[in-house]
Amino acid sequence: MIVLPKQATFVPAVSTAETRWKEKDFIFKGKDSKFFTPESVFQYPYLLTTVPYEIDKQTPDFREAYGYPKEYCLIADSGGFQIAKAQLGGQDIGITPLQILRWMENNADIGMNLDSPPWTNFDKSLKTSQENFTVFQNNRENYDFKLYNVLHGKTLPEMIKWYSGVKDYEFDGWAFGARPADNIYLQIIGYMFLRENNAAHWETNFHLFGVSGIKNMLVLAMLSHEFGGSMTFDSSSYITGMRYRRFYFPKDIRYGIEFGRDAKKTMQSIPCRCPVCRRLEIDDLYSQESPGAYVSLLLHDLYQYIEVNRMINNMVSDDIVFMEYAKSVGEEKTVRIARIIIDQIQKKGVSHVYDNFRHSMVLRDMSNPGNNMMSFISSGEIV
Amino acid sequence: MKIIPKGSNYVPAVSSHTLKCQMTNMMYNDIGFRFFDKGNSFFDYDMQLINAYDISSSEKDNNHRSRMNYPDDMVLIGDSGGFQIMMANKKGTSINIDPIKILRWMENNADIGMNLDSPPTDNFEYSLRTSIQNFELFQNNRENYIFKLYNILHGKSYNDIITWYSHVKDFDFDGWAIGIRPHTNTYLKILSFLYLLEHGEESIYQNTHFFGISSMDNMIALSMLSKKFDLSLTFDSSTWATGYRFSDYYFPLDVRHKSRLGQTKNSMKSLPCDCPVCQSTDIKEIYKYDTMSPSLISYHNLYQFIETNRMINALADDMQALIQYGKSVNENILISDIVNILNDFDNYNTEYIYSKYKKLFVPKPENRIKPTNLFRSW
Repeated sequence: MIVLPKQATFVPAVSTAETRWKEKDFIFKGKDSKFFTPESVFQYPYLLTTVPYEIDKQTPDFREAYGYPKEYCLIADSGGFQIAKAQLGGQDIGITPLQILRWMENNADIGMNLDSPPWTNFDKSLKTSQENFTVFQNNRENYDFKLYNVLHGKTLPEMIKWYSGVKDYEFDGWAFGARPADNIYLQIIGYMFLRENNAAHWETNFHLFGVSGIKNMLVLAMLSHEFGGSMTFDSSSYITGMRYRRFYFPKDIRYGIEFGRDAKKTMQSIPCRCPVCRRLEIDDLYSQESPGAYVSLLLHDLYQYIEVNRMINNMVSDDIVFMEYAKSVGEEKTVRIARIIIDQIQKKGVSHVYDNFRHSMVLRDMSNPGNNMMSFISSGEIV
Repeated sequence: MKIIPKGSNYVPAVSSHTLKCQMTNMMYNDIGFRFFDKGNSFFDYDMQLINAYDISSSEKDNNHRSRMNYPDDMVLIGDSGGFQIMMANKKGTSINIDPIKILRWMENNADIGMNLDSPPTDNFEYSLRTSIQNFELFQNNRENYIFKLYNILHGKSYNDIITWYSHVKDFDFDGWAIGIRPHTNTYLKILSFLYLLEHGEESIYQNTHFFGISSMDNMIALSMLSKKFDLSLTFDSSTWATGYRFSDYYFPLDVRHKSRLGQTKNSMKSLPCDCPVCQSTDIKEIYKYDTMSPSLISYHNLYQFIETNRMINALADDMQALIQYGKSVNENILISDIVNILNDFDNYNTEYIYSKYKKLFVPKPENRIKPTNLFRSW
């Protein structure tokens, strides 16, 4: 049974057809295109895949098929997001909840329940999710594998309603799907809400769906450090390296350049010394034909995500160093506000803080939640 | 005779402390601090600047190079110590200076040496006069013409540059070192280089050095300058060594932001960096703050300075890439200004540029980012 480290662990989501890492025989400059085999350019022991893709690709044994080591953590997303997306487009993916559960039990260390994200009809989504959760709960065969409950909600009242509808299922942790992904304050509320309600296993097994921005990394590291929690979060943003030929600057997951067809090809050397780039020549990155170039960009970007998150997790235990770092990336305000919210929730509860910060936590059209928060704080509304 | 690589080359200025580490072949976990000793240090680097005045005062002979066993392909730059002598004079400290001894030391050990200048702080005329006397001495007593001896340009304004240059231009030296102050005035440094170029100083294509700078804006500006004119230039600083003095630990690939570890909570579980130094170092060793930790912190810093400059030089080959990087470090305005200045220089002279961009050449206050205690008690 997997025990997650007490930190906020980034988990690369790999599932789309663009990820050539799945090709067994792909070798570029003596290394495979993965990040978990002894032949990979670097090794990282976490990965999230989406089950319907794997079933569709007829991969009954993921570890065998891709050489994913037994001791590395595999997280399986049941694909609720993808299924709902297909249904919105009028498609039926033709996979049953039970098939998904069995695949997860046979392959994964951690799996997410089959939720129906509440995009349009909250009550209907909750009802569908409950039906799926019941199937999962009643048909489990593997109790070493950890099956997470799922919390949704764009507002605290929605969270409360969803939670009351799913809290009695016997699962092994929680996944939270806060939207929009950049609303880190709502993510704090979700995590703290589970804590306040003493939701089962919230402290040892918590997952946040589809986030990996620097703000997310900072705040999740703060939360896990504050409460000694083990949490994971996933994202496939690093895949832009392959999709758009994007190359993030070293130790930076916000800014970068593109090595696409329009690139001027004037650089003489690679502006990076990561394990991926050390093996390459600049022409490798400029190449528009070589699949190796695409994979290398993806792996370079993935390495930056992993390292930036590692760096943040290492610094969070020293709040002075952590704040210096936050300043260096222009996120001092984010950290200050997160700190205040976490402290205030502990003192006065989730509802009190949510009521104070409600507007900033909910509305997408509040384009700069940080500034909105500061106005609350400076006006003394948060007390 | 050493050829400086094309581009803008960062040269770490090493103190007597570092020299001692190197000389005694200090090791940490069987890894050495002699970065010029390929494969036997945390990382390899083949340039170093040392203060000839300091070393020639403390060593009995002139065999530093062979004693240190520097490889033949390492570029050793000797600073004559004018700045340090000036600082000592300002403090009223009595020091014995033997310019010829400094010259001989540089001739015997260094690949490049700086003339013995007297940097102008309070009295420009006095500094210029003293510098000229020293330059004459150096010019007339040279014995080694393979070793490159650089002339020096000083000034805090365009007029200073014109005056200083007119008095030292006729010395027969092999390149130029630029000591424009304050070091934060990046634009005036660029202008001073253009001024030398405008006056036909051909040696500066291969032999230019900028004294005591290593900030992000300077690195970017010098990389742009070197690309524009296909230069081989060098610049030095000892800022990386604040790890020795203050336990300043720079964030990975960041030469601006740091944390003063001695003033933090010392509660990190591991080092937040994957550089060759940090990969080999247990954070417990750092938190001991004994004889080893300052060296480890400083070498971590040095690696960040070297790599950041290397990254900037690589990006400078593609202006669009450099602009993107400039945005990421909030230096896009600097890049735009430098582009405009260099473009104007294609058609006009430095007088025109000085007049057009006058505001840029006004010295700005030092912009040091100091560790804060503001959030110590979250």
